[in-house]
Amino acid sequence: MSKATVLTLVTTLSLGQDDAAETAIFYDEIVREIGFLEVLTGTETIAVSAGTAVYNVAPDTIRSIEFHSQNSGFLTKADGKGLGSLFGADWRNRTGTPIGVSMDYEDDDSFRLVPSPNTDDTLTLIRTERRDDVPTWLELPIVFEILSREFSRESDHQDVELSSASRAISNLLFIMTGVKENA
Amino acid sequence: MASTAGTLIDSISRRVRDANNTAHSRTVVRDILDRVQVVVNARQEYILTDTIVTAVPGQTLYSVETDLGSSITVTEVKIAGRELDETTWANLHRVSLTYLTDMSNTPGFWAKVGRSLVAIYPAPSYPVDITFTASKITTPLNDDSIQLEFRAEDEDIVRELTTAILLLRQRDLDSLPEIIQRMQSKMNVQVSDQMQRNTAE
Repeated sequence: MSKATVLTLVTTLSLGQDDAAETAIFYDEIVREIGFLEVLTGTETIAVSAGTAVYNVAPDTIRSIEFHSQNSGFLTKADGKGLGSLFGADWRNRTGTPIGVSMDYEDDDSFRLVPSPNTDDTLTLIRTERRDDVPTWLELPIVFEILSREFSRESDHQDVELSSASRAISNLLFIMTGVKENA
Repeated sequence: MASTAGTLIDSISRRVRDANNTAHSRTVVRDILDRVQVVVNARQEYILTDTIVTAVPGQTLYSVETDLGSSITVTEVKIAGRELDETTWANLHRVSLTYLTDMSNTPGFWAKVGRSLVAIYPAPSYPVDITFTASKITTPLNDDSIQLEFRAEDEDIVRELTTAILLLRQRDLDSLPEIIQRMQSKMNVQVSDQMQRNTAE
């Protein structure tokens, strides 16, 4: 179901009191928060060229979970300190068959293969994704989470009681759908 | 489950004192009922659907949304009538660090990789048919004559949850905590203390 349809249902349930610009922002926030859980998983294929160590993940990636190399299998994610202890201080300059991935010292969307690859390869990234079309079973919990946030914020239609009730229903629905765990 | 959407819409509308659907049109009630039915099946996993996918040789991961259209959560996987054992994503790592590229003529396991991917391990090495059984996204309630899809014993949950949502819509919040409490106990769901306080406020 599209983001637009979710937001239409928010308007229906709020009897038109919601601010559409704000609820659209809340939708993005909530999908991003769900992205930190292993719910909306997907894959991305990344072509690797010999001699190039740094690559970007797709912009709709929320969390990079696992990198797999066609040539060498699962790549361990490590920080600079860990890679330094494995490969020595000049780990950035090593070349060979990559066995690890560093996401440190780069911007949010990039990663470095360690050692730097000396042959072409294909990576499969298992990740969580930002989506404007969440699965049908996820739409109702998101609708109530949006209602909760929309009516708790400072506004001319702020309604703490309605917000709390919406939050209670949202929590129940997130547990029913397995996104949140039982307390 | 023999009830149609129309029957339950009548009953729920009466329960929120809107028998003539003045406050909530039938379309609105049906839309909410439709979504509630999906959520209840996501929880109960009672209404199932089979989807047959021809394996792409060497492909380990299949997308629930793209490859298995109307599925919610995979519950069983068969290849050529043989049921695969379910394992966990973490276990695939323990078995093989090359689990994403390993292949075999006789795949033995399947695992959920998050909610949107399913792994077949090892990946089939030839284009065999894989049968995925999953809880389904119930048939959309496009009109009142559509049959509802849930067990008879789940009707109370569907009715109560739809009622709670309509009460919230009409800002009739006093009875909500009690309804939510009843639903929690019927579904063995425990909302945290903080959530409980929020509801009671």
